[in-house]
Amino acid sequence: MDRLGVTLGLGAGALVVAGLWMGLVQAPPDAVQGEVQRIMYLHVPSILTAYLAFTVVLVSSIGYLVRGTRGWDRLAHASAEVGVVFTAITLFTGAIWGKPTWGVWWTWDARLTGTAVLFMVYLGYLMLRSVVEDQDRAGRYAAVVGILGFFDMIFTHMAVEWFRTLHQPSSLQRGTIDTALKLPLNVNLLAFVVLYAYFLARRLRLAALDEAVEARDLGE
Amino acid sequence: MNFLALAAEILRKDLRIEARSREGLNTLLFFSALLVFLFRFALGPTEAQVRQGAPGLLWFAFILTGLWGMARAFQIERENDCLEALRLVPGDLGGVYLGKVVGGCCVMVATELAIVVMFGLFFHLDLWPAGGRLVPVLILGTVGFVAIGTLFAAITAHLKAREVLLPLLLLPLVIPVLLPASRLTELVLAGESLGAEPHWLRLLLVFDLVFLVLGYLTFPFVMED
Amino acid sequence: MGPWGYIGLAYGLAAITLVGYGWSLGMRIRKRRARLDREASGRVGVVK
Repeated sequence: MDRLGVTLGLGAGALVVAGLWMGLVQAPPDAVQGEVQRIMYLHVPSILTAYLAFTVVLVSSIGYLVRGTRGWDRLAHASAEVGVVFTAITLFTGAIWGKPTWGVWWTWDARLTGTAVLFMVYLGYLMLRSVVEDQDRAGRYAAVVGILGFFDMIFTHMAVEWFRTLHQPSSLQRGTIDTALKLPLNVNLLAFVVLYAYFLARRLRLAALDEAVEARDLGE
Repeated sequence: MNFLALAAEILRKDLRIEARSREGLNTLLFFSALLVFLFRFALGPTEAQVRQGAPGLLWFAFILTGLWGMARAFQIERENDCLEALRLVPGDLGGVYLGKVVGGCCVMVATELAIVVMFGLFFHLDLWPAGGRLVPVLILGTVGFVAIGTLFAAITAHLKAREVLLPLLLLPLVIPVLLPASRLTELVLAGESLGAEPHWLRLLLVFDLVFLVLGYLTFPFVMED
Repeated sequence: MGPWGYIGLAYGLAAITLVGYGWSLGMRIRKRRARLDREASGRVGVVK
């Protein structure tokens, strides 16, 4: 493994351990929701990391369309895949958190439905890539999805503010979060972001190897 | 050729194909009628239920027929390698996009009107009073849908799995347009004015614009070979 | 299920997902590497 990968991996590991300790042990239980609220330390960092990942997809998709270099395309592809993983975590931690607080695993709440739709958009992105064999073409098609998907993401995120539904509005944005809960949340967020960077580095490595294999198959 | 002239040319060509072959529109109308009858079975005989479910069902029918229309717009270009010719069109490919979008909207809105009329007829809904406000809602919702639909129809036209991929890619992406459109339809059918919940209208307009601009900008990359 | 049951479920599933994804990345990388190495080691000119 390359140096960057090792550093990111070790950093992510250490931060995750710290985050787990802070989230599960050090942070006080929520005044209203009790212990169960500790799921927030997974749920919120994972969606924010997914947002970051999909923003990277947007930027690198534009980069690819404008410049046409493989590097941008690899970055978009890698970031989309990692983003899907974090969106999946958001979805199931949300469902598990919903059961004790709302009484059901799933409800047709705008935020929830929107996040599920977001998940589908980027699953579609990955599926499109797997269907088109020519890499440049796949990259161009996928870039279109990557750019449009970002606007869906904004829609999804604003959904709670606009529709006033069951889901609590983002506590971070409104600043309605106690300091005692905020520090563990930030540590976990940092852990997730570094973990994202680690996965991204590994996924980019894989993409580079993929292209090396392909080039060899074609060339020799 | 300049941008608007190109768009007009493409539009004229597509509408002429529709008018001459007619099999497309006829099949669409037949399919729409079938859907309206199927709703009858799905909803049961209670009129209150129908009235409640009408906006959602209408948009469901629009989506199904719309998907079909979108796919068709590029299917006809596949014959005789017309797609290749379109790619080589002199001037801005964005003109081709605009022409396709306007053409797609015409076909889709025509189908939508037919569905609405049949729906009103078979379910005894008096749609006349709402008509004047319903039409703009249909058009606005359709523009956003077609703006992305055209893009993805062009993408999937080359692919083997296009029948599955088109709805798979398109439907999640058009939610920001479908949601406000069906909500506005609900309002209008309930006798409210368009401005009763202005944020929905604003949302719809914003995403129509966003999708049109993005479609226009990315279409040339989709057509590139 | 008590609150800690839900917490355990959430954290457990998240751990499985993250470790699983990391593992799958590692396996895929290893497979590509092995393939490149195999092809590089003395089998030049072999028609595939």
